[in-house]
Amino acid sequence: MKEIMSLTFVLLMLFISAHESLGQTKTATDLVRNMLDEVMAIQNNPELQGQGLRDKRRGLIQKVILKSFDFENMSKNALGAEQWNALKPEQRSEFRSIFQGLFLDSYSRLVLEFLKKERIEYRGEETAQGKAIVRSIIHRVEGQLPVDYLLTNLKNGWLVSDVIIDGVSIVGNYHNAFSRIIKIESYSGLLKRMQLQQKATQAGE
Amino acid sequence: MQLLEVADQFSEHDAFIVAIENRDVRRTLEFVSALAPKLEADRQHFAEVFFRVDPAHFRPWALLYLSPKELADLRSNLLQHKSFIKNLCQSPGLVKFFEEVNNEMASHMIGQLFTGFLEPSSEEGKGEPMDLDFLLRVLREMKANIEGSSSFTSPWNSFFSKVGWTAEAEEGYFWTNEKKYLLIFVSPNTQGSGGSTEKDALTALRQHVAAVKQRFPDIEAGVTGQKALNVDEMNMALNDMSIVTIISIISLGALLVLFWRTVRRPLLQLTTQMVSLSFTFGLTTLLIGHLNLLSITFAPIVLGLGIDYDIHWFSRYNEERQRKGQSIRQALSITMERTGPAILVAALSTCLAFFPLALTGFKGLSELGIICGMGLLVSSITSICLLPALIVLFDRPRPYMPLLDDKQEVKPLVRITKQRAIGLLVLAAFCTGLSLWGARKIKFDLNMLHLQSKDAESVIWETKLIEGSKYPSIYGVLFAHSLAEVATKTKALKKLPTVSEVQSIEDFLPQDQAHKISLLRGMKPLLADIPSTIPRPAGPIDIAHLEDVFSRIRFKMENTSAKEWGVNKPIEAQMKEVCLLIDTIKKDFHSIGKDTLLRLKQFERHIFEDLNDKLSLLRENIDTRPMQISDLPQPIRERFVGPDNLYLIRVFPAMDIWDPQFLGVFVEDLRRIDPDVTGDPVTLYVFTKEFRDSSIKAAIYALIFIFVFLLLMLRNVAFTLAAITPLILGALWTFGLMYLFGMDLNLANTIFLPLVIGAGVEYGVIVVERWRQGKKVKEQATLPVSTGMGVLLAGLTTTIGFASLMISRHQGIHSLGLLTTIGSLTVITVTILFLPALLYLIPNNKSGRIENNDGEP
Repeated sequence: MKEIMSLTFVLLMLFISAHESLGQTKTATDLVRNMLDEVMAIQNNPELQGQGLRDKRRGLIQKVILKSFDFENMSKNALGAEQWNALKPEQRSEFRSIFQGLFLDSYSRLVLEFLKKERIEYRGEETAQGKAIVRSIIHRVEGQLPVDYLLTNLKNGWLVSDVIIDGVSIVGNYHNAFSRIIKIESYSGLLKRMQLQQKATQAGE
Repeated sequence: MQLLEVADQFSEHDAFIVAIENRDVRRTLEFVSALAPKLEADRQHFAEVFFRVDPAHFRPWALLYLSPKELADLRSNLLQHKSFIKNLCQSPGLVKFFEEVNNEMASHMIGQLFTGFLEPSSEEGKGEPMDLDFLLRVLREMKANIEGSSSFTSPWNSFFSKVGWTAEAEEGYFWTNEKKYLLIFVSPNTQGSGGSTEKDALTALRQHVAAVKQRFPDIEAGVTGQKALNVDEMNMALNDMSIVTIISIISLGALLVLFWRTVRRPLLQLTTQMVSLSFTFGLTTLLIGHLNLLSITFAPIVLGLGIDYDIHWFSRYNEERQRKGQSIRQALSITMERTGPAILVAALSTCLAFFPLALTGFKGLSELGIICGMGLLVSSITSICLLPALIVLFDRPRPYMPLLDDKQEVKPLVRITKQRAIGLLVLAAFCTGLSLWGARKIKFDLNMLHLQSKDAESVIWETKLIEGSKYPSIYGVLFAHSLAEVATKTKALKKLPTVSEVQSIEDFLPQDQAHKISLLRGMKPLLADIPSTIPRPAGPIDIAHLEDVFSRIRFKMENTSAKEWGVNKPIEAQMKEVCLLIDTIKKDFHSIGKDTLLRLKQFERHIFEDLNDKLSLLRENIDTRPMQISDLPQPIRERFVGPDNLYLIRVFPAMDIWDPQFLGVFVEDLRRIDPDVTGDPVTLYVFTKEFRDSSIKAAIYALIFIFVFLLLMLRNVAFTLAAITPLILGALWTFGLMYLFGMDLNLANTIFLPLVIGAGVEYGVIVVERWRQGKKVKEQATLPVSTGMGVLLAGLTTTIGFASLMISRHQGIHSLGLLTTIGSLTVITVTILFLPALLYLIPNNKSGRIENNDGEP
């Protein structure tokens, strides 16, 4: 009896491990590659071509972004730890929600314009203490653009926490802009502007 | 006048102006660089050559010339690009330079895409396109350098300030509006034994310009300026007058040959006139010493008038010799007795017409009047003294053609009856009325350029400058004794609607210096982190790295990326050019050799030396003090500040200065600000009015003198009035014809009145005298053929003298010739057609005697 129970337990553990490893991305690069492959597939899908289907492509791209990015950390880093800690949980939630929406809007537009038939070269990854940098270059015929992805290894796997385009961090850019507005107008002023922009982008959809 | 002399001292510096037409700035500056040293080296001809104010002189105050807004923009640029400059200074190098440029572009693009909604411009829904001008300038310079160009134009000017910092190589030169022309100001050296005349200086200047133009066949350049205009005008007039005089002599000779039907007598007459002309030249040299633009016309005038005395002399002599069979001695004696006094009376009365010109107070008119008066007196004396001697020596006997009966003596030129006389006088009255009406509508052309020859180089270039500039070439001049007075007057002048621009020494000083210095001081903290000297870039240029950076820049310039720039999307044309330049430079990298690397390294050095220089200039200006007048270069100071701290203010008119009405309003406006205002517009306004009035006064004085003189001679008011009628009617009809032909009066032809009066007085005198010597036959008044033909011939010779002036290329002299010709012809017409009709109405016995054909009572 004891032997049967031990065997069952081992088999069960093996089964769970196998399941987890099948469902989980193996490396940070894999996440980035999968994300970009999905996006390129959407961009190059013959059934989704044309200006009339742009919004549809955009919606699909936003879904890919949504599942690939760590918005919790991104919104915290964009606002700054000090300001973030000063917020109540519901305020944080509100900020995160608005930030996510704005980021999705902007990043999907970036992807729509920058990624079509470009060749992406992956230059390797560096991993340390649950964080990774995946380096890549987007190649066009006459130019190239280095894009680095910063990822965090969370419970469910790697998620992108920042994108550095040609040396410029998107989250860093947010942080500088938010800090400037908070200094001039306060957090409420910043939130108000973000809400207005969100309405504008939703109205434009 | 004194103030005008002071004003003239200021403008002495700009006597000659070399104007260079600008089609390519670099090429134009190369021309100046070739010409200026040649002129400066020629100390014999040129005292000063002013072609540039060295920008280095203004360096400590350069930024004070920017407006407060431009300084604010400069501060904003420094703030915006502070990291860029700081990073560049810390590790200078060409690759680092483009990396930092790329970083700025990437930051800008990301910023716009993700947080553009937080920028102030987004609230207004608009923004300025991102200016790629700086990047383009650097890439252009880089490409030029790689391809072998040794010149370098600083791109940093556009980086720090969009306006105000033009390329230093182009700074300090004297450009006209929109850089259409570049000017060089040259003062002739006319001082001392080492100097030259203005004419020689102008000739030398034109030779230098022509020599340099041979190396620059694509450049158009010429010499103008007030002194050049004067010299060209005088030269042309002198040259033309020689030709005019010769043509006048030939034409007179031809007419006389036609009239006398022999060559001998015209030769004798012309010999007499040549002698009198020579004496007149001699007397002019002795008493006056020079000729001016008006008196230069004396030769053909004196020739045309003086020959009349010979004609009258010969007419009477011929009558005595051929008709009455007198011997030479007898004929000479009778002619001297009978015609001599009349000739002298005619000569004196003509002199009386010219001498009033000397009373006008205008030097040019006075000298003309004196010279012409002298010339005519000399001419009449040589007619009486020399001609008889020549006749005795050289005249040949002519066939005797005796008078058969009295009827031949009174063969008339024009037969007049009572009815004809009344009809002619009514016609004359009608023509006079029309002429009076037309005379009121005649305009006065003030533009002195219209007097000069259109072909003169100085006129051509002066016209170009006037057309190409917003400022006319003449301006009013005010003086002030302090800067405060300059400021007060300038403020008042700028409010006048008739004034377009006011220039003074203040314009060369920065405005609002205290405020601007405080703005500059505020920039000091921005430079705190930037090293005072940027180290020289060290090590070779990493071409592969540079290519990589170029690829990243190029990626952003693709049109598909353009939308991501948002409201600050760069201008597409600029993006295309960036792509093109990068592609070209990258191709050059592929064929890179040692020379290319060296040139690239040199370009890198230029870029950072230039940045060092700009930052150094910034620091100098941040710590500067207010600029004073004493800090300005001397050539500028001496053009606007005279001795005893006298400050000059130039005032430019807002409208056409040649419009007499506007000119009057402009001058009166300036006089309200300063009653002592002077300068060309004031001179023109006062001078023109006075000149015109003087010419009319001279004509009136002449008429009065002639009237009094003739009254004393003729001792009869009616005959005296009749004698001067051709003058009055001739002058009035001339005005009427001017209106008919659309001719304007100008500063040259205004003097036609006294000339025509002087020329025409003798015809009336001769006709009246002959009329009084004759008698009525069967109620028909007659003007004998001999007298009539004599008057006609005399009139035609005078007309030829005046008409020859029309050959002149000087438009003023040409118009004077035209007007005096018309005047002369109208006077002749009145004398021959209308004067006999008028005389018909005067009873012959009113003179107190009836004389026979021999003039005996």
